Amino acid sequence: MTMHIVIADDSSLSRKMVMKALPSTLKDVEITFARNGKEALDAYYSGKADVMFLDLTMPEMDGYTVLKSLKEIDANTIVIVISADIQPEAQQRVKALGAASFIGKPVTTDILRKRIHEIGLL
Amino acid sequence: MFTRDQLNALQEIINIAMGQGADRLARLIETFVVLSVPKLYAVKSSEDIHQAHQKMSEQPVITTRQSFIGPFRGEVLVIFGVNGANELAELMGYVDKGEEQIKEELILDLTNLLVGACVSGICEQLKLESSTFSSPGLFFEGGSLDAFMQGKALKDSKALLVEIQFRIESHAFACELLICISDASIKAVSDAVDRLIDSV
Repeated sequence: MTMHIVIADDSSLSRKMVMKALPSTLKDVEITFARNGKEALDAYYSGKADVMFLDLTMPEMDGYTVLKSLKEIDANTIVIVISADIQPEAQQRVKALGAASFIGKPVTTDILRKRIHEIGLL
Repeated sequence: MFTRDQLNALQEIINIAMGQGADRLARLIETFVVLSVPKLYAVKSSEDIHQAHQKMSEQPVITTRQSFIGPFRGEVLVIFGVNGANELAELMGYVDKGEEQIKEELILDLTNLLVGACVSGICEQLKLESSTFSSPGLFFEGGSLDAFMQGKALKDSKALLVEIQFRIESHAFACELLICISDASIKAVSDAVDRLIDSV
């Protein structure tokens, strides 16, 4: 069964870095890019978000708002926050909102693979 | 100076570097720091700064400067709103009016922290040799940056104006950075950004 992955980040460089860091062992995935929070939610409503890699600082709608909305709609959606804001309080806030994991930027294959393994996607 | 793709990449590189700066600031003041979405402008004249920077330049500011040398070489101006700087000093317990010197030290410490995080973060991500830093100094205090900049800055240099706000919730504190890159290091930065873009 196809796994729908959304990579939501306003930076094209970061979107590509996350995509490149995804382990090749993840098979049968469909990736959608979102450039802001609104596009991220639109992707969910289009049925294209089993897993979302979510930036926090984005125009239109920030990652906190997206995460809160997603969790209110569907608590089962897996959200991994990937952010430059590495303050402990930012990490606590997203965990409290229901994020499965937090990764500080810049993302690397090793860290992403470790987090994906921890939450049971591999 | 930089292509649109290079500026977009640099915007994210600086965002990541400033995230580290915000983390250091938050640990220092034990308060959550809100980061804005950074905006980058390549500027060549004071007029460019005037256009890109109207909001901050309308209010009185304290501006500090710190230079850095290495393959990535230049100077950073850190622009603090006066009211916010006072509030930050109060937040950190410097409440007496007689403690102006301590407030200045605080602002310079903050400059050191933010410039260090920003420049080091850029070098690290671009795989450039680390820069070394001068001591930060007070550049200008009071009045508006706009008035000060008229005819005085950037005559023979190029700069990236980075509009990134560090804001403390429920307080007026905010600051912005102006990164001036020497002509000599623009090619090194440009090439390093291209290498990064090509690697993903």
